[in-house]
Amino acid sequence: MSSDRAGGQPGPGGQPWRGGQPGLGEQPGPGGQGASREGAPALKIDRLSVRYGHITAVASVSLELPAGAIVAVLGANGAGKSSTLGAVAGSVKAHVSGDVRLFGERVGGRPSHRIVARGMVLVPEGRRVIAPLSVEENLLLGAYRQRSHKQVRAKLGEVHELFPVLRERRGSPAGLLSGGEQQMLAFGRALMADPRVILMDEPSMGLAPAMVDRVIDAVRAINALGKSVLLVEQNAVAALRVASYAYVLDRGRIASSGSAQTMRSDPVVAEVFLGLHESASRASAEQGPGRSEAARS
Amino acid sequence: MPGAPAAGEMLQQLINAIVFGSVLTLFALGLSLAWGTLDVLNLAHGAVFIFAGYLTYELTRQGALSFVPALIVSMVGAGAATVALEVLAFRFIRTRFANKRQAELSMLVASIGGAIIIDQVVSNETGATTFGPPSSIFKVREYHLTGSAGITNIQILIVVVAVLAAVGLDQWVRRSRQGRAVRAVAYDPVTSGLLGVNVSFVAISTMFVAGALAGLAGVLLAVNLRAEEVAVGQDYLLTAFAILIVGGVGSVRGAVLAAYLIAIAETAVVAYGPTQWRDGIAFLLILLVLLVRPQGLFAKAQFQRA
Repeated sequence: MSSDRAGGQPGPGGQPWRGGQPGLGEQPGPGGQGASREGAPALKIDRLSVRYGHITAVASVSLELPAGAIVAVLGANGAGKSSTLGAVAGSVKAHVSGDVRLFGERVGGRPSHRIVARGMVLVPEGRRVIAPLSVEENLLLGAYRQRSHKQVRAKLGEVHELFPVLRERRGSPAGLLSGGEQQMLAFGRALMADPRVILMDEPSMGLAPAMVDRVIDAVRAINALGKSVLLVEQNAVAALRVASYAYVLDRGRIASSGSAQTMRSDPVVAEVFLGLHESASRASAEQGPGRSEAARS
Repeated sequence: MPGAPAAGEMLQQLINAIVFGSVLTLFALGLSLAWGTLDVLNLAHGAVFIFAGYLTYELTRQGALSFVPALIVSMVGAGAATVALEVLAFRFIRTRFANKRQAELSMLVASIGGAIIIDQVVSNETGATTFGPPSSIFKVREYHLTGSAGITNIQILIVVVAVLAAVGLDQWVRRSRQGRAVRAVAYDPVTSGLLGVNVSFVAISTMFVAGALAGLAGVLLAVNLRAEEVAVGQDYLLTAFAILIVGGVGSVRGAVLAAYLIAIAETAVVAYGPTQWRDGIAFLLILLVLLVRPQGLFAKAQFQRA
């Protein structure tokens, strides 16, 4: 894995917001549990850049996830959302620079399996269930790092409690589940690792509207278990229903950020990412993201 | 008792076929494991198999080691040789190529290179003639059965070890935590990493097990025949391909069944039929299976939504 660490100091960047309180907003989570450093945010990304060869996908992105909160990262296709998450989770094959801290502990540049061991799991875009393995085997795989059989069984019980469909279909190959069920499996599999932070990459993608609601409910339920959630979404309406704070990513940069409340009423976000006005969104899509940058409050 | 000699002869052929099938099983299991999980079509598998026999020969000919320690050291040596190929070649190919097909072809070519190197080392050291461990390392005893038929203790050992290895590998892949990780890595290495699986460790340990199985087969065959040569590895490799295609790639049960099927067919042809057809049998079976059931006899069940 090629990753050159530039900068590295956690110093104050162009951070629009540095709220210390956990569970800010309408969705107060329990917050702060299991923190290795008192008061440190669950996840702090500082000047993260991701380059694929000569193409810069993410340019100096800084953001913060308070312990126990749900923070959304919104943006259109190709805005650099998945690259950001992949770089944080250690799964992208690219040049990554910047500083990533999990409860104050530096985790940037480590391979993905080490990051899981530190307590952060990525629920990948497109669910990525291991199709030939059964639902139960997928869940057990999520607890790969846990060697105690008893603990694994206990976790499995918790996940079944949260997503009963995974118990009903435990013997079925994961590839035969519906899209929504696969998303629940991807969530459950992440929970099996007993992480403190869960990164979610477009969990609502490709799902029917009713299923999107179920996914959002699941995100809320996961957060209620004390997990801090960084939720990357193209579906801003859905994401802003659960998130307390949101960043808008545009062409690899943070274009705007604010509490979910302000973001919902932000005209630029409304037009560009919420697609409230068909014509407006089409127009802005043509003009490109410069508009949102300019119109940023 | 009329007909007894014929019955004894037939029993002897059956015993020979089962012993041959057991060596083939051990050989094919390792090849199937590497191919079915990591998509490595390891053409150096036959060379590693002979390499283990050669190691046992070297370790025992001056009476340095007895049978069991020599077997263990040779299996570790065969495993290490396969891991060396993984670390020096396959791993880099896997990360460089985004296209799975291309990676597979490159690994195939790399493994041919590995086979040539290993074969050359063994040829140089043995003077390119047949070699084998001394008879003193394993006291061969023959047990007489009906008529002229008999079975030796090394033959019994080969059959027992093959069955244990097949059952053990099947259980390991299907039930254990590590086996689950192996199957997950086979399907999607990136996601496996995101679930906490150390993918390169899984790849290395899988290749080690595959190589050690080839080593086990190689040592047992060397002790049984007491004469081996480099070319034998290639014969086994070709037959093992037939086994994987007939049994279904990645299926332990299919590989075992196909190994015995091919062993019995080949033995029958040698004993009763046109002997020169022996090497054709495996390929005739490939042809039949590809025509009737191209996914192999024991192919995996459907796991993707239509």
